[in-house]
Parts: sequence; C-alpha cells; structure tokens
Amino acid sequence: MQTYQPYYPQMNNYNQQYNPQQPYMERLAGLQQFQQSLQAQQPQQPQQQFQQMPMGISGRVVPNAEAIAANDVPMDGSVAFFPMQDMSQILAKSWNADGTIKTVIYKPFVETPSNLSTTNEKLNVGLSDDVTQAFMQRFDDIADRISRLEQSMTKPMTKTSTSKTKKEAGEA
Amino acid sequence: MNPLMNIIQAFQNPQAVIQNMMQNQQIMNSPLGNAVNAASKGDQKTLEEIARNMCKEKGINPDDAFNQVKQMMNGNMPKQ
Repeated sequence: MQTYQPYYPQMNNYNQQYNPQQPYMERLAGLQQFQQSLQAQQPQQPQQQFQQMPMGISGRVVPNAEAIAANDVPMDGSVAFFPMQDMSQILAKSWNADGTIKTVIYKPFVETPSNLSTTNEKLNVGLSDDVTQAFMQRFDDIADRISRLEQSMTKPMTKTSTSKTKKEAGEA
Repeated sequence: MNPLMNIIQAFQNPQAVIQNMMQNQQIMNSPLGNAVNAASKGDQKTLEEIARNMCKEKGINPDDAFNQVKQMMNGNMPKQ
C-alpha cells in the first residue's frame, strides 16, 4: 500500500533550504526569505477568515418595558426588538455611540376597510369643499357685478322718473 | 466559521481584529467602536463620558465601578 506524505508547502520550502552542507550565508538568506514570506502571509490570514456571522433579529418577547436589561441590547450597534406579550407595542433598542441606549417605540395601526372608506370620504369632502368654495367665490363676484349693474341702472332711471314728474307737474 | 474561532483569532491577532472592527460602520457607531476611536486618539474625556453613560444604562455607579477596577489593579492605575 502506497503511503502519502503530508504536503506542507511552507515547510517543504524550509526543508529544501535547510541543508547542513549549504554555506551559512546561503542558508541565512533562505531563512530570511522564508521568514519574510511568513510575515507577508500572517496579517492577511485573519482578515480573510474573520467573517461576520449572518445574524437574525436579536431581542425577545417581554411582559413590560422594565423587563429589558441593558445587557439584552447587543453592543455591536445592531438593533434589538422587544415585542410586548400583549402586542401593544414593539420596542427597538440600540446603543448610541455615546454609551446611551436609544429606544424607538412601534405601536400597532390596524388598517380596516372601514378606516379606508372614512379616509376616502374625508378626501372627497375636502375636495368638494374646495370646489364649492371656488364656485361660491365666483358666484359672489357675479352677484356683486349684478348688484353694481343694478345700482348703475336704477340711478339714471330714478333721475329720469323725477324729471318726468317735474315736467308733468309744470304742464299741469 | 463559528464565533469561537473569531474569539481565538481575536486573542491571536488583536490588532487585526480592531482594524477589521474599524472598517465596520455599524460597530463604529456603537459605544464600543466610539471608545476604540477615542482611545486611539487619546481622548480621555470622551472615553469617560461613554463609560459613565454605559454604567448609568446598566444601573452601575460609575465611581464605584472605577474604585473596584482600581482595587483589582492594586493601585497600578494611571494618576488622574
């Protein structure tokens, strides 16, 4: 049965260069080269392997807001969600950069069809109000003009009528 | 990779971990990132403010905590 030797490229390189028969300077140069190659590889290795774990939503269901401890909020800057047991609200808590905890409260809004229709009706009323206001203004303008016309028409008529009565009185 | 490996690597090469942390905007907006940033600049006032705020949030008296740390260090703390 054939046996396989483990393959270590770095060690293999090192073994090739470590030969007691070699002159000292050559071996030293080889060792330095090997050390440099190790140093060049070392800083890159952790950066490639240090990966962020894909995280889910952090938090838990709580009976009240007082049940949330500061330790329940993650220190990595992510937001933790704490729904109330009765679903009356959801608290979103995260650490601020200054060391305080920021809390955002989400309260339920149940959208029912009746709510939708009332909002639509409100919109319609708002629109019709605007339209009627515009119409009424127009009507008022027209009414003003008519009244002014009437006034201008009635004034000469009264004058003429008085002059006519005067004439009639003179003739008599 | 599991979190345990991340912790082991943090002990092996803390500088790389901090560099990696400083590239993450979310962590840098957290008190931990802000503290690292302040420490790298030597901003003691900001560091103290962060520590005091965090103590307050966790229900700890910051002066008591400071004295406890001082006792743990056996008086090897820098003079204020």
